[in-house]
Amino acid sequence: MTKLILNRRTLIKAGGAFAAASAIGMPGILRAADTMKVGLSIPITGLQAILGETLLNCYRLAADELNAANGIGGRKVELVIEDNQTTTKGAVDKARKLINQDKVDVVMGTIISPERSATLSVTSRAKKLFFYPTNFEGGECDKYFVATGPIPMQQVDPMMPWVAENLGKTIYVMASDYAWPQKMTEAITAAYEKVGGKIVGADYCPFGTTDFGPAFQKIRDLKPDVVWSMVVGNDAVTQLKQYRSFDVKQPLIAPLDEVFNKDALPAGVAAGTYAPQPYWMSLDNPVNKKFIASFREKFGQEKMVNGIGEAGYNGLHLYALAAEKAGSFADAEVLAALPKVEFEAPQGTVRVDATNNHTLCHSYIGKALEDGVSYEIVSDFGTIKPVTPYCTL
Amino acid sequence: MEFAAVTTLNALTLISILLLVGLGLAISFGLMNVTNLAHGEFVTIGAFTVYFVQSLGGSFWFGLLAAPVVGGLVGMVLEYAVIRHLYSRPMSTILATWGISLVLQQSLELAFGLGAKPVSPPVEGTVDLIVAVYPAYRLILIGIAAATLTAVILLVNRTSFGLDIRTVIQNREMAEGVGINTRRSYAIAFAFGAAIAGLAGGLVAPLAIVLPQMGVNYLANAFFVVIVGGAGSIAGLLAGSVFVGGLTSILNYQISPSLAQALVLLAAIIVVRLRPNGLLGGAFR
Repeated sequence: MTKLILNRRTLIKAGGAFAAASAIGMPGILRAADTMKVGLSIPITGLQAILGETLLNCYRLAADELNAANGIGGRKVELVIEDNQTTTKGAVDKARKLINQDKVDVVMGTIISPERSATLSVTSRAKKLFFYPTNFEGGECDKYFVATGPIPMQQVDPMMPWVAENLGKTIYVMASDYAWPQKMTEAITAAYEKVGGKIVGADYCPFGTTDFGPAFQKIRDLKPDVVWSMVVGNDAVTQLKQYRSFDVKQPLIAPLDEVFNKDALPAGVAAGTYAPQPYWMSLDNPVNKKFIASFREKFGQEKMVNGIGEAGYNGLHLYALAAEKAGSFADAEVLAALPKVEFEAPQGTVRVDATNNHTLCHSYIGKALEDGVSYEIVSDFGTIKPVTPYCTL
Repeated sequence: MEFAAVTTLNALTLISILLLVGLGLAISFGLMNVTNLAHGEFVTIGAFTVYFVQSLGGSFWFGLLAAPVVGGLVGMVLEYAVIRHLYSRPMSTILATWGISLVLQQSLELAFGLGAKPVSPPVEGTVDLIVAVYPAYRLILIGIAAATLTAVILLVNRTSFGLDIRTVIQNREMAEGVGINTRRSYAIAFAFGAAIAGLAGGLVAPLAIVLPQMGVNYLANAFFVVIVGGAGSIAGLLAGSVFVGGLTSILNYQISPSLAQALVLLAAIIVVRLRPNGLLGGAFR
């Protein structure tokens, strides 16, 4: 071990370095008056690590864009980033830390339902705004909860007539065994029956399933026109590999996106699959082109971005617009101003509906190209207003 | 006819995977009495070996040959560095191997990054077997598993090394007394078990997700088949794999997969209650 010698010169150097480090590391304390804090609860590790990284980068991009202009109402945006490890305990702990210790102005992030519910259990009691970016099963209703991704009625309802007309009248569902796929299947069944379609079978596989052989055997016997997969995360990788090896001929609808396809799936596996999303990288408009260009300039030219990331990016911008309109960072005042602002998002114009704090999102069906990564848009249903009979604020 | 054929093939695929993962554990847990919670990581290491070879442009088959070699080497190092000091302390072994499994998972994550790794199968598509159409790669997997099992049975029953191993396991002191290097036998047996787990990992890589945490999916099942079949015998392992794999495949087709898994567990509990030493519990065969 080297001996530590303290003399005047090293001490001055160390002091200088400390001062510099403090200025970078703790701007919130040093310049509390001119920053505002956004608390991010992100699955940086664990099951949703792949999607978590992209979501975090989208928040970084939005914060940099705001800071390059005037911040929010003259205040610089400071991101306080926490890893919730894709666990409920992590999500609860990190939400508490962000609110009680860091005193953030707003909480944003999380991907899967357990992370969201856990975070919401903390934010709703603290009456702290929480912006959630992922498409989800709906059913959450809280004054301080804002969803910037779509719920089933925004994705499924407009899509089913298209499916019945273009893909077929019978669907077999294979899904992971948890809340989102089950609620989605209910929504699919209802909307599909209206247009004369029928769900011929639904299988919910436990997390960690390594063999989907029997499900493919059922598909072969039942001969549905379409297979709708809602197997998620790591299991989706296993399932798609096996889907290809069983040479299933039916068209597959699967909740995939550009990021997952590129980073988790073997090349070409997703080719030809359909997915409903509020955003696709292939959307041809100047806002989207600029969004992708800035994202790649910051994080790498080969990087992909997806609907969850874009909804996170939109969320921070919507918050900024609302806070500026309200002239305040107080939760209730930002919330009151939120439905009155619109953001020119990469997917098109978005705004939050006052009756349920869900976002009027776009709804597109994409079809994966031969490379199995990118999508062409095969149908555009426009902006869909979120309607939630269970929630009136 | 087609239904029976596909069900049988589905069951054989699952049995093959269970068998190969369980084989290594049957040696370390069943024969050497080492409760190795890092066994799943040998599977992971095998799968990552195939991924690594493919990512460098190598063929799947070369990766599959390298997988048991790498698995065996890691097993050998672990045995030498940690496990051999703990043969007389089973409880400490559980803690130590659990720690090792976490270290291996995190090391793989640091070395290869977060998230799933892509592995492509060596053959695509299906084969028409007249009675049924079935994925080509699964047929290869079943074949390799059968060949490996045969080789291991021959090794244990027909070679002098196998004789040494059986002697050491029956009575370590007596084996030492008649001049067998028991430390060496244990080291080789442990590394051998790790190598087979590595091979299993290489085989499942094109079929399932490849991820630093993937071993967990296989560890519980491996203990499951070893205990249900009867710890300490290869015939028992085969019986356990057929019981669990066959029942799972048949039930999965008839009822919901979550319920099927619960029923298989229930059936296993009943088996172990009625036959505490497993289906074929007894001496090493």
